[in-house]
This record gives sequence, structure tokens and C-alpha cells, in this order.
Amino acid sequence: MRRQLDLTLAYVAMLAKARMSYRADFLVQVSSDLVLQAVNLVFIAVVFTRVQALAGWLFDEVLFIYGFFLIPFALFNASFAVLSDVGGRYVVGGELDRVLTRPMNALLQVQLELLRPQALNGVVLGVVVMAIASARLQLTWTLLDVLAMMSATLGAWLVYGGVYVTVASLTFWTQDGGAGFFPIAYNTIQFGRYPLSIYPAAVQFLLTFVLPYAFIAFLPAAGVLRPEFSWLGWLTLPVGAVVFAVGLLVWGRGLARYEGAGS
Amino acid sequence: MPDVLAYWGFARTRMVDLLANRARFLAGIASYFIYVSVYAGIFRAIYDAGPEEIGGLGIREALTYTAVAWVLRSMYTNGVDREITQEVRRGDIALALLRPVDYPASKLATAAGEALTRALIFTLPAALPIILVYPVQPPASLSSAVGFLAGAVLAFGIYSLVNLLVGITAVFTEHTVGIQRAKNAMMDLLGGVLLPLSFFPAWAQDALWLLPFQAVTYTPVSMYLGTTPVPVGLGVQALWLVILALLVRVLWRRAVDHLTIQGG
Repeated sequence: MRRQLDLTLAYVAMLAKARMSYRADFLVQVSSDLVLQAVNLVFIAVVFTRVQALAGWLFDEVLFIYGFFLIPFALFNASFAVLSDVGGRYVVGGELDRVLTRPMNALLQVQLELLRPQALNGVVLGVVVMAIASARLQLTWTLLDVLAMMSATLGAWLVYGGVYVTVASLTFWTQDGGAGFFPIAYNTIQFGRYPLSIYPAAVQFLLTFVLPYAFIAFLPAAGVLRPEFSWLGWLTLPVGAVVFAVGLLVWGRGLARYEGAGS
Repeated sequence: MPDVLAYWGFARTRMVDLLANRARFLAGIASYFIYVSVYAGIFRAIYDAGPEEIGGLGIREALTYTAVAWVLRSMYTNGVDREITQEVRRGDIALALLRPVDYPASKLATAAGEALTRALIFTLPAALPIILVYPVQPPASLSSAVGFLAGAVLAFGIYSLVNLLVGITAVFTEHTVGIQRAKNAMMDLLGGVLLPLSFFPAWAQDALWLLPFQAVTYTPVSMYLGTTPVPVGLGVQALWLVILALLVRVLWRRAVDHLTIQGG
């Protein structure tokens, strides 16, 4: 464990050096991320010029949900999101051979090679949006609320991770064909940015029990916004742990089948 | 005549390429169903909250708008901007310039091949589950149906010309990822994919008419719904097509002078 931690830090240090040598790319990433988030915020603002509330949720509450959404989403974009590369490069292309010769967890190595720290700017934006919404709603934060949000951030990141590791592992069975599931896993995330109650019951069921994106933003944010839902905020961490455990299990099964690229 | 055949070759190559990789459209079909589902959910919640009509659209029209807008998007979308950027950065554009064809026109021909293939093997299958699940109305009249189909072709032209402009800027800047992503975001929001432009406040609507993006989605879809008269809609689109085609000409001429190919 101690050794894995040391190696992780070494990887991150190397990565930071490599990334800083492409400073222009970094700035482009940050500014185009901001444009993208601005589009979503303008969309929400335009919708609320027409209505007072969406399925009972006010503008500032939807803004708060969206702000919280951005935080674990940025962590995800900096880490697991890049796993959509794994199929092509690592499994079909055989780069996993190189990874497997080293005495360190293969998934951790792949993950560390793919980190994109420049995506972390979303954390800052998310905190700013949440702070503005929270001030406008005059929320009073208790220590328990802060802890719930932090545990939900970690849990949401694990939900993303579990889903993405599972989909990436499908490549072991399907070769490149499995990569087709990534756009679906990614696009479905969009549902998570808005109050769950605006969707039909079938969609709500899917987002709770199949692709549990209800837990990545709406449920924990609702926990802070409405005292009667406060217990909901604590569900995300255990759900994330389960989803991630499933991901690791599927990855392990898949890796056992890996036979190299045959070159 | 050999000219036309040469450009048909570009279109045909892309069609064959996409047909060989048709499996990747399966995920796209699922994705478009998800997009429409998210926005249909939001529109239902908006109309549940009160207003009978927003910007001249009732709930039935709004749901139809969303469905038609996304289905249309599945047809005209292409990556011409990204492809040109890659050719500039790798220096492949030097080879393309040696060919006795007009480079921007050859890119448009490729994009046309892509749009035609998408229309048949992506847009139609993507539309089917959407029409089955959501209450999509037929076009308001025969003339609005014809207007929409003509408008869809012009929408493809306008979208591709904007992409050409973005791609050609790579000659001056090397990187266009940022411009590409900003352009994509504006196509969706300011073009009217995410929501009808008539939902925007009046002052914003006035400003949006000064941009080409509305001619890609909002104008053809509102011809479908009958809220924009067909001659007006097609006229606005044709005007933007001409303006953008001229801009591409001017920018391309400057780009050829400016082009530097590294290494070799």
C-alpha cells in the first residue's frame, strides 16, 4: 500500500512536468471548458425566464444542484473519463503487455498514465456556482452538511469510476466493440444534472438502480437543500463503493482472459 | 465534367468508409434517444409549471421541436473542422494542394457524402424510436414538409461552411480545439438545438438573428412546425449560405498565402 502510494505520487509528479510543457493546451482546455459550462448555465437561466419552478425546484436550487454536479464530474474528467481509450490502445493494441510486466496493479497504472489534471478546473467553477446559489438561497451550513457533501463527492466519483471501469473491461470480451457503450455511459450523465422528478418513472428507476447517476448530483444536493431529504446525501458513498467494487470485479475477470495482441 | 466526377469521388470515399464502420452508429442512435429524453423531460416540467404557450409553442409543439431538432442534428453533424486541423498540423494539406481540385470544395464533397450516409443509416433509425415514444407531430402542411426538407439541405451547407471556416483558421493558429468546442456549444445553444430560440428573452432573440447558428436548426425546424413561413426561412438560410461561402473563399485565399509546411 505504502509503495503504491509512493509510485502514485511519482507518476503524478512526472505527469505534472509533462503537462506544464504544453501550457497553451492547458489554457485552451480551461477556456473551452468554461464556454461549455456557460452554455449549460445560460440554458438553465433561459428556462427559468419562463417558469418559477421546475417540478417544484427553484432556479437557485437547480443552480445549486448543477454546481455540485460539476465537482465530482471534474474529478471524473481528470481520471476515469479517459478510460474510453483503454479498449483501442491498451487491449486491442496490446499496450497492456507493457503494463503487466511491472509489479504494480495494472488498473492503477493504466489510470495513472491517463490522468488529465487540466480538467480539475471544473472543481473551482462548481464551488463558485454552489456558493452563489447557496448565498441566494441563504442556506445555513452545518458541519454535518459539509461532511455529507464531501462523502457524496467521493461517492459520486466512485460511481463514475465503477461504471467506466466496467465498460472499459467489456473490451476484454468484445475487443473494440465494447467501446460503443462509452458514449451511452457518458451521455446518460446529462440526466444527473437536473432534478430527478422531472423524468418519467421508468427513467427514474434506470437512474437509481441500473446506471445510478441519480446519486452523482441530485440526491446529495437535495439532501442539503431540503432538510427532510438530508439522509439522501449519505447514500452516495455506499452506492459508489458498491458500483466501484462491481467495476473491479469485472475488470479482474476480464484481465484473466487477456491474451495480448498477438504481435 | 471530370470535375464533378472528381468531387463525387470524395463523397463516395467517405460513404464507403462510414458504411464499413456502421456499427458505431448504434451507440449514436441510443445517445440521440437519451438527448431527446432529457430535454423532453425538461420541457414537460416547464409546461407542467404553468404556461400554456411559450414563444408561440404549446407542449405538443415543443416536444415535436426537440425531437425534430435532434434528429436533424444527427444528419448535418460532421468533423470537417477537426479533419482540416489535422491535415494542417501533420502537413498532409501539402499533398491535398497538389491535387487539381479546389480544397474547400473537396471538403464539402466529403461532408456531403457523410451527410447522405448519415441520413440513411443513422438519422432514419434514430428517428424511429423517438417517434414511437414521444408525441411527434407531422409537419404543419405539405409546403412546410417540403420547406423543412429543403431547409435541412441548406442547414447541412451552413453547418459545413462554418466548420470549414473553423478548420481553415488552423493554418493561422495551429490549434483549433478551443474554437471547435466553443463553436459546437454555440451551434447547440444559439442554433436552437437545446431549446427553441423563441424561449429566449426578446432582446436575445434579436441578437441571435444576426448570427448564422439559427439558420442551422431553429429556422428549418420552425418551418416544419409552420411557425416560420417557408419562403422567409429558406431566404434567411440562402442568405447565410452565400455570406459564409464568400467568407470561406476570402479566408482560404489568405490561408494559402500564409500556409507553411514544416519538415518534409
